[in-house]
Amino acid sequence: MTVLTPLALLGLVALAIPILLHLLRRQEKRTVVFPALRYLKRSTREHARIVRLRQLVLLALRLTAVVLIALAGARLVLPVGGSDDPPAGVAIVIDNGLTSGAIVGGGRVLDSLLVRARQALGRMGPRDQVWIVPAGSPLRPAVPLSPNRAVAELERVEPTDVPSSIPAALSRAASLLDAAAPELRELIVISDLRSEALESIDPSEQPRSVRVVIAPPPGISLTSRGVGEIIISGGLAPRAGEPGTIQVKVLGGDLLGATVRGYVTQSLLGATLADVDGNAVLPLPRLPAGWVEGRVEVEPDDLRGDDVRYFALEAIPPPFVRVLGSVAPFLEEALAVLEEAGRIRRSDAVTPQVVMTSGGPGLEGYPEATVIVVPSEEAALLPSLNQALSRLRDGRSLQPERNPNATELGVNGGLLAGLLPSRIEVRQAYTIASADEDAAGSALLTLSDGRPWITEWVSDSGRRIILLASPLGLEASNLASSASMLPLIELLVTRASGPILEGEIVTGQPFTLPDGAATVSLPEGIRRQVEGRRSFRETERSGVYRVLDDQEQVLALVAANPVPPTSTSGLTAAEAATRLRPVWQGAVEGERWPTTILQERRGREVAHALLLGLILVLVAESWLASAGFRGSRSEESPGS
Amino acid sequence: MGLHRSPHRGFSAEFAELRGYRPGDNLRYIDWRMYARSDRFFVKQFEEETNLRSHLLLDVSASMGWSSRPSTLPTKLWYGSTLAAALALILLRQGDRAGLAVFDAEIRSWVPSRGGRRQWVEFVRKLDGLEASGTTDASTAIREVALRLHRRGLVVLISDLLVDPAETIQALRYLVHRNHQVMVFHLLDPGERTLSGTGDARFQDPESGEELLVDVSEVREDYRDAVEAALEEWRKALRPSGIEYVLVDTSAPLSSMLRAFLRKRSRVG
Repeated sequence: MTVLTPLALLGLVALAIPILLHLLRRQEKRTVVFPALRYLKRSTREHARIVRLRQLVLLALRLTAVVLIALAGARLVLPVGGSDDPPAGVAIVIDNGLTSGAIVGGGRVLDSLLVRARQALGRMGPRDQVWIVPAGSPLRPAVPLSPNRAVAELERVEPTDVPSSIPAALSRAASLLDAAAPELRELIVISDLRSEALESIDPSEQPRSVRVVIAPPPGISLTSRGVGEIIISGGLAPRAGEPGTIQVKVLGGDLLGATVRGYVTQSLLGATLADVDGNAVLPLPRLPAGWVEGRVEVEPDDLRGDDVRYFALEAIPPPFVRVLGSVAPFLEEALAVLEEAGRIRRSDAVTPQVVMTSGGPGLEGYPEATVIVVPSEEAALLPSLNQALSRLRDGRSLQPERNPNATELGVNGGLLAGLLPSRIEVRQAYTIASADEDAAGSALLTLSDGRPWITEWVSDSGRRIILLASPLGLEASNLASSASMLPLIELLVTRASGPILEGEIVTGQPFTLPDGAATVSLPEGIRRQVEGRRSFRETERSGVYRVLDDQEQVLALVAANPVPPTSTSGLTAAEAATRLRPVWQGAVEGERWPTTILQERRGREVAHALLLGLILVLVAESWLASAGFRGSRSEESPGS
Repeated sequence: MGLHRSPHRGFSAEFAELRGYRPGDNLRYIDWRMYARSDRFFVKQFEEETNLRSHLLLDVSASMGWSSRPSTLPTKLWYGSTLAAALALILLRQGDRAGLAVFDAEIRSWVPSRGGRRQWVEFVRKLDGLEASGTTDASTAIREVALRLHRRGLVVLISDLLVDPAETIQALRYLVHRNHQVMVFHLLDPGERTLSGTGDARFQDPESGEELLVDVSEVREDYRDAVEAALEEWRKALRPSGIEYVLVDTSAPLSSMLRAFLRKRSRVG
């Protein structure tokens, strides 16, 4: 219930008038000396009580009239919907992402949001359909519920470590409403409105006209200091039996002196203090071969979710690498350095895990090994390489560059780009052509013009092949003389020697399951059967996910970590509406929360009804005041 | 025309009828002519024109001092006093004796029954300057009068009868039992018969001070019914006992009311 002109409510002061008149009239009631009182008493035994009652009823009617006039003047808006209105479809996007788990003022942020959600549900009728769409649980199915059941559903909403995206959740909620197609539909956003939750708006998306009511945020400022990034052994793959380091980057405020602790399989590695930039280094001990999990922590603050960052790695023995044929001298040098450092092993007596070649011989021998193909600096050898590639029947080949005098290109994309310490400039690159556009393969590195520079695929015969588009010479690129040479070669060798697995993901994102995966053990110990699945998506919790085979052996460990929030204070509802409006044109801030919910249905002004009621009250008052309860009797007065 | 005919058969000048002789009858009144004709003794009877002893009882309680229209309508007391004076004059002029008792809860003044012109002067002196006050207890006053009257006569009660009906009727019947002829003049102000005005009002009994809050419009009809029922109760209670009941509207001229009453009495004989 709202009023559009609240000032008119001052008219309620006029309620004093009938009350005063009533009291004054009571005082001034005329007294008539009348001897025949005994006759009067015979006819009016109960009458005095009725007269008093009638005076009270008259007073009530007069007060009601004043109230009706004031409310009509104030333009009262009443929830006049209900059974006559068609049921509305309302999707409540509730932000249960990372920051909703923050403990501020002794309570969770999510609890404040749930209070708003319950207020919103209180505005709905019993026939309305409600979808609860948790923005921090993107994979959780939402089904239409009655408002009462939706209240119960809210009890099941818990904070997750997923960086929530309000636009994504809105799109999902709008799709649900589109499918149900109720006559009146509305989206409600209940969030702490962190800036990063509203950043992923795609302006090219088709504008949506559905009304979006944004609940006012709790207005809570967080003190957040979290572990932003950890780099194990400088980004190189850990080798079994080798010591390493854990470089930690602490984000947030008050970084200097923040205590950082590291753990490997529940054992404390050590503790150190972050510098003014939040950097800290922890020692990584010699690890046995196999999967290892650990975590890095800073002291807890309001937002606990980003105070711990997990890692999982597989410490493997240095792989055996064999070079077949002649390769570029810089590559030979790099392999020698890696061998000397114990990162790889080279032995002719052992079947290699990785074969490096510039042409045909490597592609045909050692079928169990992964082949890294580096084209020769001699352009004349290109046809023989292509012939060898064609024998694999994968339809891939290296084609000469169409414009050899093209400007230098940068390697600035791909799976490995972030791991390289310096940018690689490419002056000469073949084009990796593929006869089958849909052939499976991934670009480990790409050029700035979008062409893949290093591509990996598995051939029909089951052999993994990594193909470079440029020779590793000074003419083709600056890689050979850059700081990225050794890391890149080691990354390629490491990748070639083990399964293709992501060791770390962002919470909420799926990860690829290795072959033979039977179950996944979640960080909280719950197990999920995953036989026959290619990926696992239930990664709302940060922690280490264990992929097990049917013999309960660990196939892989995947660490899921949240993205630390970049803002410690939230947007206002108006700012959030402004951000959403390029796509969500019906976004409005819930200034008069929660009365703005389903305003189309519930926002009817009832002035006409009030005036009709006023007329009825006045008629009743007149009748009661003049004719009394038995108004049908009218007796003329012989005199006064 | 007079206020009354003698109910007592006597031996006065005016012949009334003959009846058979009974032992003990005075031989003076034997009609010898009838004896000659019928060979039976008859005794002449004469209608006695006696000096009737009458007593007027006037109610002067507070309720009698009320008028619904004080500027144009007399109070019941004034009307009753005038009526009493008129009746006394009629009685005295036809040679009867007249007495007066003024009462409220008890007899406030008493004029013994006498005849003559001076008695009229005494009447007027008593009636002049009467003021209505006090509560009414007609039954007590009537019983007291009955005890004071040793000889039968005419008792006239002039009152608004705002009294306890049962006790008053019983007292009046007691008078009849004592062989008195009883008349009741019931004075009624038109404002008492029909409620006037509208709206709420607090009505106060001038005698008891009791108050009653009513809506006049609301109770008007019920009140009228209640008054008519009360009048009918008086009528039905008094007439079978031989008590003459006369309802007097104080808005009607006294002379016309009195003339109509006397004419009616003369017809009844």
